[in-house]
Amino acid sequence: MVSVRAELLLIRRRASTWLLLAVAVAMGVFFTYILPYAEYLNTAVGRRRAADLAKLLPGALVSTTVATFPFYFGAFALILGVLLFGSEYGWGTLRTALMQQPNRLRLFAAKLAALWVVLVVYTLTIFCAMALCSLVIAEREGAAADWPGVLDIVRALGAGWLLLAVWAMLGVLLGVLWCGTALAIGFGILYGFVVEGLVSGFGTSIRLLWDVAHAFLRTNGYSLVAGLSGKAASVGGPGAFSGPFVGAWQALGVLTLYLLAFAGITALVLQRRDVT
Amino acid sequence: MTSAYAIETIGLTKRYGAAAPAVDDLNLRVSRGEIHGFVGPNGAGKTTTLRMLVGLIRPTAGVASVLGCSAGSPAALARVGAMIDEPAFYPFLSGRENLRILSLHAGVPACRVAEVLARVELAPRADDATSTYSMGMKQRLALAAALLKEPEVLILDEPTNGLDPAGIAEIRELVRSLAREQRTVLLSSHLMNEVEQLCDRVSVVQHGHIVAEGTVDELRGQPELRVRAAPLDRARAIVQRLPIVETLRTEGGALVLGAPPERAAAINHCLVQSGVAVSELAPIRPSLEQVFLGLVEEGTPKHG
Repeated sequence: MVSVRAELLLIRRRASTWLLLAVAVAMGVFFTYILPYAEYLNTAVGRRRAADLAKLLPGALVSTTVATFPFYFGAFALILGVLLFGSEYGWGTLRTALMQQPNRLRLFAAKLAALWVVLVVYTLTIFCAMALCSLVIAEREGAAADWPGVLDIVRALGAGWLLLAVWAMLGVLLGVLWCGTALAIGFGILYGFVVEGLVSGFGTSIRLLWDVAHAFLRTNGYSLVAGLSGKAASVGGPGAFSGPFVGAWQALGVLTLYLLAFAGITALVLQRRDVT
Repeated sequence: MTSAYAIETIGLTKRYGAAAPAVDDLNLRVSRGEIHGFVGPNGAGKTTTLRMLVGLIRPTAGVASVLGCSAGSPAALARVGAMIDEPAFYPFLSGRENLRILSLHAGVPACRVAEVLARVELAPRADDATSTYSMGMKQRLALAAALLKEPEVLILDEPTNGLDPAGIAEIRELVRSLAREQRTVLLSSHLMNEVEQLCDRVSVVQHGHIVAEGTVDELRGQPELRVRAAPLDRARAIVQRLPIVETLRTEGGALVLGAPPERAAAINHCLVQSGVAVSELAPIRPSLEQVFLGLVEEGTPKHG
């Protein structure tokens, strides 16, 4: 328990923890609310579509916000996860810590607990920022602020946290495997953008790849989101995703398995590998 | 596992792939309460051995114990303080915060942080970020971290590295004071005068195994006498006949006698009586550094 306190103190004092969150929220708000609203305002009055505005109002908070978690905010979580362990190798501080706390699994568990607490803060902050944006837009448009039900919000927060946790755990694994940050972040982003993106893209014409894509992080992430918002929506722009989709419960199970598998492999590598 | 020694390794070996072993069948014994020097050239396997003693790396073969517990086990490390390799701390935290985090990991009370900072005389800069510390200050902080648990055994790898002469003297005094508190210190260093001044016993490691072990006196061997005299041949003939002279060789135009230095006056008397002019008669003894260099060059085992 005291090791958890140490790791919480450490992650709290790291500027990169909050810098990442600030950048993630700023960019998230900009691309999810400000740009779409500017686009809506720049459309001629007669051609404006009520559906475009509806996506920006408080009533659509869950579906609009949670759709950004499977990859966009996931990429930030991946970076956070890499930094958590990769930097320890770069600074040599893993060695320093292990000379005080030789139980590697306990140290790993403490770091993981601290990471997961910070991801709760990330999830809440992102939702609050998005909620504030939707409220401002509703005020400007004179629309009613009909918030989603509490249960929907809680489920969305839980799904958001799980999605961040899976990507962060992948980051932790890569940071440990590469004993550093640069390559780990590079490979993580490359995997998310290129490998999953291209395989899913070619999957529309190659059946085997379509089947493989069912196991991907983004497939299951977007499928979980689809289960929450009630519709399987394509996502455009960088990191575009247009399927395949699986059932929400299957997605939940697969993502949980990924989380456990990434944690298990990381623990195994940490436990067995020499620290030099 | 029980052991009469504070630190004991039996056949300790570490191999990396097909390369020659970094540590090869190393048998090290460090008695409780002593300062034990662990010396050797770069790449001899010193740091690899120390890493195995604190569990950072696992041996390929052999066993190591610290205070009777398996080296690197939580039970052992609870009683061991170590500074190995370059000091490594979170650069964005102060020295005090770094120690606070380590104290939480070690499960020691927060008050220990101030105590160890005072002991290594780092308190005035304790609240500055460690990224602003000099190498010497980082060394002190690493030593403070090693002292957090009030350890019975201290494993120190080049503790005076990067320190100025005043800092070196302070750290040496600190190590002496730790030994006076009945702590065992295993000190890895390549500064022979440091080892000579501090250590009760010394192990010399080369190519991953110990090539000499003993007290500093044992390793330096018996003092000899250097005699400069004329004519040299006549002097040689005379001292050769003296029963107190065990060995005799010529070195740099002088005779080097294996004889007790307290018999110098008697030897001088014999030579002068025989008409030999003696210009120098002085006790000589190789420094630990000379012994070390000799061992490294020859690689011959020597045990005191």
